[in-house]
Amino acid sequence: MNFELNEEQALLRDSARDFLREEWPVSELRRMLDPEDAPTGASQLWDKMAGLGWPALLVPEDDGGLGLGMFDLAVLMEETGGSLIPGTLHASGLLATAALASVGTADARREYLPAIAEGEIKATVGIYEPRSGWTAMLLDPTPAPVVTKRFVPSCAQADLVLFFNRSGGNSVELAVAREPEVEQLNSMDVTRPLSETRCPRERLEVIGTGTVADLQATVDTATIGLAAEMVGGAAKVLAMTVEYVKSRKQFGRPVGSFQAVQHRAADMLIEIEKARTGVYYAAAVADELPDQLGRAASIAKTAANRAFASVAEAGIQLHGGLGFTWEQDLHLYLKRAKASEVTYGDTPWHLDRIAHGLGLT
Amino acid sequence: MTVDEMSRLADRPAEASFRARLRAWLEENTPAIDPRDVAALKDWQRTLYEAGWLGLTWPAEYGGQALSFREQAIFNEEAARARIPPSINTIGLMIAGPALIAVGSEEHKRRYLQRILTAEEIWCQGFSEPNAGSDLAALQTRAVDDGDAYVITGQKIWTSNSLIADYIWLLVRTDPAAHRHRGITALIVDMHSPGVSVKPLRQLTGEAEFGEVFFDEVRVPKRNRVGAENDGWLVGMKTFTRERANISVSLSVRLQQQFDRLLAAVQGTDVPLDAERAREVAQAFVDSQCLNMTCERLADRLFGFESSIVKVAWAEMNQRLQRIGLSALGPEAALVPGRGFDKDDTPGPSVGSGEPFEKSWQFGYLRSRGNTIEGGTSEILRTVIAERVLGLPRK
Repeated sequence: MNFELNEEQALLRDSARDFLREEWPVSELRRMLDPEDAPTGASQLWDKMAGLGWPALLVPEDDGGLGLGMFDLAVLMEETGGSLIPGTLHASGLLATAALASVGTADARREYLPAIAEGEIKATVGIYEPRSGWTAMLLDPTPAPVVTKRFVPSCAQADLVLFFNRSGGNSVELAVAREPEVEQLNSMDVTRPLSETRCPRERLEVIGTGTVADLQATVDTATIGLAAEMVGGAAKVLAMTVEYVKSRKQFGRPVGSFQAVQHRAADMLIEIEKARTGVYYAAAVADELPDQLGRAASIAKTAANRAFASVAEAGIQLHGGLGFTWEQDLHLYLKRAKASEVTYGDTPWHLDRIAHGLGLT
Repeated sequence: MTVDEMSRLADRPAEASFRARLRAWLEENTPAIDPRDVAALKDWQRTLYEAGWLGLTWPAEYGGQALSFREQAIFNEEAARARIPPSINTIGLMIAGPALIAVGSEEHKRRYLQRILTAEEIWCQGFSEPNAGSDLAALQTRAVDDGDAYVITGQKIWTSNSLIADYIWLLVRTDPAAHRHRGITALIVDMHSPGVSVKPLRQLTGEAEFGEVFFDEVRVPKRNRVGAENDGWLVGMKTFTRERANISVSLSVRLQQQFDRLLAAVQGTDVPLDAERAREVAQAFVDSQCLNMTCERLADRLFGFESSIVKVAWAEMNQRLQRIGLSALGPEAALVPGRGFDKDDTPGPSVGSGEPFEKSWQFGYLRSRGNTIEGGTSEILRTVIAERVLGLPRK
């Protein structure tokens, strides 16, 4: 398996890292913590990301995008995850793009994908229903008068809200939700707003049809991107922790020279490297072996779930009392880790799917 | 995901053709050999070498194939897939040979390398001593200068293959007055020299996979010195990173086999798996796949300290697989199949299920306890990762 980044991918990673250091420093992130504060730089960030072509990355060339693959996007999202950028890029440039590219009609693709690629509109997709969880086959197949979607990412910020619904049996519909009712949920991760979004059936305009497998594949594709963001977040926590334990002194020497601290830091790195491999593998599968997508996404997400949460927890521990404070940034990463962990399927959900695929259940 | 599926993602055209040729050859030529039949294992290695499948990354002038690490990885995958017999000259192929290529003299390379490949000469490695394990720099085996030779006295322990080896890749102390790391020298020693004796070291599995090697005033010509006198610590460190890299990559393939075996074992039971056990196996699948591919992803860096990452992860992963496999046996796990613990360490017919003890989960579990100790304890390696990879301060 070729895990080497090519020249363009290495450039993408380096330029993204430099850009985010400049444009999305922690000070910006912290302004999101206090809703009373002045508006954050999130909308300027969006414009600049659009200028760099990030929302266009996954949009096919025929639809006005850059037509790159999931491996490229994973390389970028590792960086955006490290900086905890808001969720609009994930919602629009990945989730909505994947949904439209998968089942959108020619008209719908023409209408929305170029605008998404340009960053003129920010799109999102509602999928999760209270009784379905992230299992496409369990979505309600009979139309309710008002369709309710939960955990819709960055919905209040979106110009285009899509609902991915099951329409009976093995069929699904992608629909534009016109003037939906958006109820902000109190997300543990304030950098990633979530909503419960409701839309009366008659205000849903169907713009594409497909199968349950198409819907699940859309979720799987988004899962790989999320896992890439999680690995980036974990790597950032480790970098912060290494810096801290090198400089913090107790008993007259840096705490990073104590074996108990060193071994925990080593474990953080081991978990990150394994999860990064899982993400790169899954992204390569998404590009080259689509029939293996589900299992690959589950491998990546399971590994990323454990890496990010365990690394964020260890990072707080190794920062001592400081790590427990609001002032230190680590809690933002821990909250992102725990919110991401249950998005697109928690660990038991993915393990059950893998076990089933292996013929164990 | 199978090795095959990974390969579909991986191979460039030249590599795909290498894999296809190798696979066809292995299907045609892989023999069934009793893993204790030394002569047959030597013959098999020679056959492999003559067909061009050994020394893949070694220079052509010393009998190698001058190919890349990528072809070596393909060989490891295909060898696992074909379940070829175990290598009889692992230390020579994976440790002594690569170390000689890196730091040996021209004479050493010409004299020893090809005979390692052909299994004409079997090698072992003499680093650890009773009082120098993790703290290797405390080694005390003494080499006294005596004109054109060194005279060696001391003891090595945990020496794999010492009972059949022709040469030992040895670290000795040449300058007891120098600071610990500075007075060490690397030597090639003929195991048939007068004064060398070997005693089997029986481990908790009942087997004697290792030996103790005793040196009683053994004369070793100075031309057998590798690198400069008192420069042996650096030579040894180069050996170590190679050892961990090579072993990690080949063990990742064995991990794949162990997982496949575990899958067959849990699928083979009449009772359906409960959800908890199924998730445990699925989690082991995720972790072993990620680890195997990590070996490949980090391949270029594995000759550095990064090799410790995969060694630690591999050892603990194998222990986990063996633990799950053993527990899947239920109450039967309390019994030892076949002949059980050998009393005289000689091969014999199996009884009971017909499964030899060495192939059982009971054996695998017991043997795996050594994984986090051999080749660097996990504690030492975590310190290496923290200090050498992450750059944390040393004491």
